[in-house]
Amino acid sequence: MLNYILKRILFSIPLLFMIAVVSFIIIELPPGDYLTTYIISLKQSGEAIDQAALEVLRQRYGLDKPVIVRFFYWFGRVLQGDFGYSFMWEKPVKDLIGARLFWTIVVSILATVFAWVFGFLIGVYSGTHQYSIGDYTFTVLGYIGLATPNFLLALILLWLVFATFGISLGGLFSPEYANAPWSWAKFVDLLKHIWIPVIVIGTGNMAGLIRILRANLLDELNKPYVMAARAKGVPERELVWKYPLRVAVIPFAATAGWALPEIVSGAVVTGIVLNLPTVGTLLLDALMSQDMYLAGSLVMFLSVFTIIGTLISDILLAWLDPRIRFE
Amino acid sequence: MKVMEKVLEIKNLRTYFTLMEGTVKAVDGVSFEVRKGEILGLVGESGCGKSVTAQSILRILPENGRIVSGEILLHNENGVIDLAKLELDSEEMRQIRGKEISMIFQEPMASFSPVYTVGAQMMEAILLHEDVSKAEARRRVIEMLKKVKIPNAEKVVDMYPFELSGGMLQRCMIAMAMSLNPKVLIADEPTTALDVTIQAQILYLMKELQKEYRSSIVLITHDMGVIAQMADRVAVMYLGIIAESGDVYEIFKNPLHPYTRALLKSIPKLGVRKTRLEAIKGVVPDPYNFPSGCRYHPRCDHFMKGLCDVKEPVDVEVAPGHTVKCFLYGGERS
Amino acid sequence: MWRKKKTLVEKGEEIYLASEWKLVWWRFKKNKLAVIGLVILSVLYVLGIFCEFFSPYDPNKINSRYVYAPPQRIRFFHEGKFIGPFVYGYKVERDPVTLRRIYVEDKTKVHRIKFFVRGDKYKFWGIWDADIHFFGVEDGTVFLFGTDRMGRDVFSRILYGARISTTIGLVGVFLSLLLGIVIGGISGYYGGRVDNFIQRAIEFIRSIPTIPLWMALAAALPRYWSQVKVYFAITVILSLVGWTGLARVVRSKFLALKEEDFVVAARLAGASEWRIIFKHMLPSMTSHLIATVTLAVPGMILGETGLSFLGLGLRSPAISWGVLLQEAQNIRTVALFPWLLLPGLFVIVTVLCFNFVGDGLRDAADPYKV
Repeated sequence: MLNYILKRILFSIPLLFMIAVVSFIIIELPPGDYLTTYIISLKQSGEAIDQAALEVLRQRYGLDKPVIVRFFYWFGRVLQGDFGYSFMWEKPVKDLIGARLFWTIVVSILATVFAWVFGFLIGVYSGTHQYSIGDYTFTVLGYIGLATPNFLLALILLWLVFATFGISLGGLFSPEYANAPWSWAKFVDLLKHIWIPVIVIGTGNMAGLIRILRANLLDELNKPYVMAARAKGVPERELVWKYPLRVAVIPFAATAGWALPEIVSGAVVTGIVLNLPTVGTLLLDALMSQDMYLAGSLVMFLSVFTIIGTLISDILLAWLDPRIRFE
Repeated sequence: MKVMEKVLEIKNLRTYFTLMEGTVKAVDGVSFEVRKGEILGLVGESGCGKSVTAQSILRILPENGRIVSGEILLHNENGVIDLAKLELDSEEMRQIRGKEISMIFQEPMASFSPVYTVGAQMMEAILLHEDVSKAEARRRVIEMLKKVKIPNAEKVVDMYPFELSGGMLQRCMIAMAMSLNPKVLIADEPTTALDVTIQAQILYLMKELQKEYRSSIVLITHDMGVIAQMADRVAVMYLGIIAESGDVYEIFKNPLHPYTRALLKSIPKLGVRKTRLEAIKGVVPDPYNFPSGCRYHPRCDHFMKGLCDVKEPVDVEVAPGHTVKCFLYGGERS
Repeated sequence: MWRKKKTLVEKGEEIYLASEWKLVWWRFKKNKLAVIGLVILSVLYVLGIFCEFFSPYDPNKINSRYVYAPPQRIRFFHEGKFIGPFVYGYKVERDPVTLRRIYVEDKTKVHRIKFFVRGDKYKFWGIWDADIHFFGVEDGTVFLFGTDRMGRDVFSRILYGARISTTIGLVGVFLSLLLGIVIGGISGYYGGRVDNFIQRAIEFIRSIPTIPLWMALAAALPRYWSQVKVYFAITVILSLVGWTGLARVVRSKFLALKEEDFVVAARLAGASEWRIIFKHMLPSMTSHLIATVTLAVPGMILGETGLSFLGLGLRSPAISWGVLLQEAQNIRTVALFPWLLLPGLFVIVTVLCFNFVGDGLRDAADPYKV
């Protein structure tokens, strides 16, 4: 097991490097380089252009060098915690993303927990009560959940809440708490808001998880080892949990782990629609104004987060499934 | 023939399956008895209801199957219990499964859960029925593994099913089934999924253990060769009924039912030069609509029109302990 | 086990003789949801392909008199008498407090809905000039799904949007399929190190959150590009991620088929690698591929809708369901004019139908399985 974990961690290192490459490509993608954008923004604000300062920047970012060299300049700075400068906010990127990344991760993790817990419970119910009214209801809702894009679900929920209660539930805090220091009341206020994004982001995934678990559980219920377990006298109430479910939970966990990239995707889109203090709006604005160091860094951090997430879930999977450990 | 003590008695068992397409009468009036310390062979083509009979006895039928009528009488120290009357998930029934009657299955690979070690699954069987410590259960499992001639039993006990071969797993299965010294062991095609060389070893092992423990075995198979090698008595099943039953020597020497004869003809014989094996003509009929009269009549060489397709034959005892359902030997009552 | 026997006995001959496609079709037909999905999808595609004809108005025609007009109900009885389908005209009033326009049905104005009427001129498929519409009214207006902030007919816009939104999924999937077959095929056919490398690459792509990546790529598209260019660029972006799923299916099928007797037999008979791949292996996985492809379309449609909704995909004046949903970004507007969410309903229905059809196909693709 330890061997497997080490191998899996080593395996993520090239992945992280690849993410750096992709992020750099994103930064380099728009026409023109960082300086041209910078000069345009200076011109727009009517500031004088200091050629000497420009030269310093050119040196620093290696803009006169070929792409490969530029990449390693940039990569070296990233390793030291310098992610470049956002000219839109006129701040270093690292000062901008901390809190927003934190909320993105909080919302994503909560949505994951929501999707796993309810996906598991409903999946077990549907699998053991095949063709019951409950099973049909969940199947129908699941199909609709899978078919509804996150932003649309967010819009519909907002609209329903607004139309019935006349309140707008965007954001994570009410205005009076947004900048207030932490207190019990602020926490309660957070709980009042956070359920909408959690449900919106989690639902699509939950629907997928229910389908996986239900189908696998139904498959496993008819396997010979279940009959064998029954034949040796395992009590009925223990049987389902100990035998078919224990095996069916493996593909469930595999899917659940790899759902994280999707959940983060959902968190970005939903964050924009619901106006959450997550990276969603920041990323969108950065992309719209071609503030590429900011945009590239955001994509990088989100990807690193999902890589770590899938790493954890792969280890979890190996713990659940001895066959993987022995590979 | 000396009369031996009965352990298990099946009387007129009927087990039906309800499917979307209709009702399948998988077992349709089966009666036989299992005596102490004997091996009873239950033989027939696939789909004839052998496995369903076994599952009915342990009450582990799939959800769409149910026992419609009949008795399953288990004779033990406390008298006679009719298993067919017990609640499916009652504690009484649960105590019988694995303890009084245990079962081994056709596919050893699929009959162990892939996520627990073999030892854990074997220990579970002991812990479910006896109040012993885990260490004690483990000790007994290792002892049983040695008894079924598994090398490195101390290691194998911590191995997962996918690390072992089919033959090894079937030995583990037998060890698990015998670990509580059951009165009856039901072996449902225990060697079908194994290599021929392993088959013989497993069968030999079963016979040895059976002698040692003095338990009874119901051996379900489609292979007349296995029956010849193992069984004391035979019941030949065809489409949910028992066509012929009797002492194994009697049946092999003097097969009466045309179906039994056909089955025996289809075994390859050593030293007999024949251009081709004889197959039974036709296929197993549609299970939703059994043929009228004698179920075997569409495939029978001795089909008598107006009799076999109209009336159902009943058991005729042609010799002590040897019964057959066929009009060739009488049985025109009803 | 029992069921298999029945089919063998009753339909035996028929099944042995039927072609693979016939078997797939038989099994598909049994799945009612899948059939319903297929019918709805066909209708949607026909509407989308011939949207100029089926929509009553030019989708860009501005009606300043009818801004945010609610949907008009189709009626059949006027003053208790059946007169065929018609709508009542709108009287515009003003709310004395909010000064908002209120549309009130004017029961004196009856606009009969006629079929094959002349209306706004259009260029059918950009080629032929025409002005015949499937339905319309000769005087007054017929806004089945209401109008937007510029008084444009939402129904017509949804039909035009259908053309782009439904085809973008197909084109995107087609590109993914090409990539998937080539890369997945190489991976599965050659195995070994190549396979390992490709598998790692696929895992890598799958572990990047799709939407931020799509957003970043889409944002890099030059603004001056034409609608058609953007359309294809978006499909390329969508399929850059989409191929991975298909490649996995192709790979695992290749791995399984490689060991099959008929492939070994073809190799022993001296068939070339290309012949083995194209004549023997690909055809035997077609039904599975079609099922997988069908299930991949919704992801593409949702991707385009999401990107366009965020303003990073197609942009006005191009019309897709995502572009239309941009109108619904403000929740107060939605609360007042909920019909602006109708394009979302079309998205959901389309994706649902693709899922139903895909599930049906997947189950039907294994015709010998019972």
